[in-house]
Amino acid sequence: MTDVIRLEAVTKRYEGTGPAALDRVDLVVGAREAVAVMGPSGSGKSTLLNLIAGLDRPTEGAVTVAGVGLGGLSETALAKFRRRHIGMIFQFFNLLDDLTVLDNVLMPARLGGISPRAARTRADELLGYLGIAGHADAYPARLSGGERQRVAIARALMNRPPLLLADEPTGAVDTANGRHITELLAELNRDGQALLMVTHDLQLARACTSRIVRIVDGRLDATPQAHDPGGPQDSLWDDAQDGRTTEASR
Amino acid sequence: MNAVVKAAWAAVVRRRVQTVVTAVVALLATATSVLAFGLLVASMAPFDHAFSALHGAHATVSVDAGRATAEQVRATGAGSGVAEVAGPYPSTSAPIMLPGDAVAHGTMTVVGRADPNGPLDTLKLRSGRWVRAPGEVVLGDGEGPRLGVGDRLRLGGVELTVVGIAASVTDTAGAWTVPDQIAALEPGGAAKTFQALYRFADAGDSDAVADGVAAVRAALPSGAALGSTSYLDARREAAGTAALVVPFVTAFSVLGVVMSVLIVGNVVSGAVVAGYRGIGVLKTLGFTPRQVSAVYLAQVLLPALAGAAAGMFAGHALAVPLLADTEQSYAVPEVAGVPWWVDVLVPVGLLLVVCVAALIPALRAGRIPAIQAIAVGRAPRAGRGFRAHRLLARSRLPRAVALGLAGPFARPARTGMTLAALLLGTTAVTFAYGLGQTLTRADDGLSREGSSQITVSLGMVGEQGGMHQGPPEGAGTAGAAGGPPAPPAPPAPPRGPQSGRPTAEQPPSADPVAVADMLRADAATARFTSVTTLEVEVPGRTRPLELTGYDTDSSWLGYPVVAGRWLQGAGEIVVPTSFLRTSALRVGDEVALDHDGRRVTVRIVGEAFSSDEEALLTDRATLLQLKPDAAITAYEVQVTPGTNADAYAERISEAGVFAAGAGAAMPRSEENSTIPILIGLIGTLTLLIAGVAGLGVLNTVALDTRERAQSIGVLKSLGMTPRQTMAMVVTSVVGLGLVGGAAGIPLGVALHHLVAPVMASTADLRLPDSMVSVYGVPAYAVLAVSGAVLATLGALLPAGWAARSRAAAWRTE
Repeated sequence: MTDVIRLEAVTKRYEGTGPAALDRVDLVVGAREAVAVMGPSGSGKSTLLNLIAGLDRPTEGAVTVAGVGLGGLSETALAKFRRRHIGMIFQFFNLLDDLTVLDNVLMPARLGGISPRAARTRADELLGYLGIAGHADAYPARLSGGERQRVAIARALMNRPPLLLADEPTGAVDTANGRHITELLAELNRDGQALLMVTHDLQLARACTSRIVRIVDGRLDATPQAHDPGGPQDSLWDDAQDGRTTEASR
Repeated sequence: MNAVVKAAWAAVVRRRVQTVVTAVVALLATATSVLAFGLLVASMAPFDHAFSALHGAHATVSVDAGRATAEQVRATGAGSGVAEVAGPYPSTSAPIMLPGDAVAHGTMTVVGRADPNGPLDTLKLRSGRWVRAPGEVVLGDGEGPRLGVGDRLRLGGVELTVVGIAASVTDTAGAWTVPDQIAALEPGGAAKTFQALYRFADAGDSDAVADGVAAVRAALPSGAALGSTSYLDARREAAGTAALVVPFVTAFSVLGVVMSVLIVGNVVSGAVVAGYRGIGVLKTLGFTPRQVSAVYLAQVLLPALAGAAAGMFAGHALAVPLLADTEQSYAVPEVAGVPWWVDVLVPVGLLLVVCVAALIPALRAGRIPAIQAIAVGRAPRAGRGFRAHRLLARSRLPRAVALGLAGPFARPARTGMTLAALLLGTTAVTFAYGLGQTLTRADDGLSREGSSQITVSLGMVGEQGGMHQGPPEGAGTAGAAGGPPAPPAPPAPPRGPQSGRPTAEQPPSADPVAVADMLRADAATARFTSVTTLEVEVPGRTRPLELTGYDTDSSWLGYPVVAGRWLQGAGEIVVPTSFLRTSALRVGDEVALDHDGRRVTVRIVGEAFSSDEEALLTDRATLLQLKPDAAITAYEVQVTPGTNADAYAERISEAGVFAAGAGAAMPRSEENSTIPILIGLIGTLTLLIAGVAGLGVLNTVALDTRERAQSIGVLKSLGMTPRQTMAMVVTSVVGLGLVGGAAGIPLGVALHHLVAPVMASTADLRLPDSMVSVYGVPAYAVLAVSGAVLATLGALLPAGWAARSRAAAWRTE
């Protein structure tokens, strides 16, 4: 299996001599693999996600995504890399409020230089697949949380990125929508979509991913990643689930 | 559609408030700047511009038609140094009367010209049309009695219809008719004088013009040249008028441009900062930093571009009437319009300001990580304003007000920009108020209408009537005035009506004692003083001056005294500032006055605020030492409160003491065209600047309200009423308005104290303290709240939106 993510001794400090948000993290995620990153608030989950997305740079170490070392890329090159290789889903959707649903979904294709006809076909396909075709001309403010998240997923998948990053994708939606999104993500992975997801929700992690990575105080837990119910993670995350709607720290 | 264009256009269409505010601010800023630059350009050598544009004549020469033929005059064009000649045009000096009048309104130079577009001295038609046939006349702008197109008047006994009003850059005539008409205006039925206009190869100074005129004289038969006028006289006069306006226009223009730059910067950078969250999202989607900058640049550039285009038209539209007014203030027929480079410079400059203002925060946003941009886009940086919040929370102020007052501390940079806008707005208002007051008081001081409302001119022997065109100490010399059969005065080259005021050399026709008795007997007379004038020489000066002698009690005449005091007895004199300056004298010095071999030495006891640089004021007793038989030439009268000056003047004129209609009483109201125009300019520019400042506040509050949407939603859900919400939003800028106002007042006062004396000094005036210290306590009180009023007006709209919206709507933001 080819690696889609490779982190080698990655450290991130937000202040020069302050504590490390991530401390010498090594992580490998294979293509078509789905991995959940779990940990308490402030443990460094979102920092990890941001480094993989090229939205932030590590203080030390190397981040390689889809075979490309991100350390040597300029901001512009990172942006171009992101639009081709990464789709992102956020807890609070981060849709562009000024654009319609369709325009939001089309935006990555426009950036990627995909022909308008092909882009439109793909967008229609995704909107239909996600059950939001009827909202194509609506503005995000008119949609429910679940619908907005589905728009965000459609947008993230528009350019068929090899890696989908999700940051608490069900954190701001109700249970029914959460379940629907969980099923969607699981289905995407079954179809071969690599997925790295940050979540507090063990059920979501179990449903969508094949591997769970624990992170505590910026360090990956070296404990073998059991995915079985009642394993060592369960007791740990029972507490964490209470804070599922809390925005992940850093 | 390209991703950048799509994202930018979507923002333009969806963020209506931001788009509209940006466009309107750009519009106002462009209009203000176009206007400001246009006025500045018009203020630069306005006479030279008009002279060049209208192909003015360097010299106007009067030629005796009995001694030189038209061909001989035309032939002078070939003379040495003569570049061009126009004419000769038949001309005459004719008494002006209105139909039915027994009293002439002075005399006027009338020239017969078939075409206003001569090779020289193109006449600018202000209204109506050019003369086509005998019986028609075009009046010079501001010449003679106040008549309009369609009115009738009598020139030299012939009744004519006014068909147009025109202006000559060098005032070559007071009126124009068709050439054939001139002979009919002459008593003999034939034109006796030609007017010839000349341009010389060299006319840079008075010597060069004199050389040119000498060459013309030499080319004409002996004695044919009767007189001449140089364009330099008109130029000097126009320069003095323009100089009065230039410092004011410059100050306002600079203020307007600085203000525009500041507000545009504030609005644009605010819009970009408000879009930080969007910037973060764009970056996560793969927008490069350059693309992100382009999106935010485009979303403010598009409305700014539209606003700038509209502003250019608005600026031009506003400039048309203001420049027309400026023509009058500068006493020239034409001022430069808004030059083409202003149409390029202003929009390009504005868009450059927009680019810089947008790029700075956009580049900053490009540098910070996308995730951080998303996080900070919603709220001010944590921790800012905490101390202010805590402090105000402990106060006894209503909670909504305390929250509002603490608001500005959360966004120091934006607060600083808004504060600067309010400060400049208040500065402009304060400056404008002060200038308006100074100009009004200066106008009152120069006209003295509050103290002396009537001049009773006694008329002179041989004239049939006289109408006073100005105060007795005013400019103008005696001249013949009267209807037929009085012969016209020698053909004087320069224009217009000349006053029929008698001088000491020409005894009055009315009995001064009888007039004084009549004035004394009239119940509406409060006070009056005799006026006696005498031409005197001051040793060391080349030109004679006019000495005016009043009765001993003349302090009520209302001359503002800049330094020293008013006359208290014989041997004292009060002089204008220009006299002191040109004579290198000071109040307290003595000066000798000569007349016809007699000399008196007087002490200068006061410096008067007077625009008449040649007027020396003393008491009648002192004047009589120079000419014991000097006759009273007029009376100045103060009427009792509530008296109608026109009715009073009419009653006195018709009382029968003026034999054969010689002499008349006239209200002293003298219209100064410059002051109302300046006040109009002040009003327009102040409104524009205040409007720009108000829009800046509106934008700031709209951005703040949007950014604080969640907090407002929470407060509403906790029970904050719409009225409290409104109070909170409005008070968030009222504090700034008060601070800006407090700081802007001293700045405005300082600017006023700087500009007003400069304006005065360019007109050879020195302002008395009463015209500089124009800010009283009530004015300070009103000005102190002007910043708060501006802020409140700007904040009301977004405050209303915040108050009306439902809590749920805010919560979902």
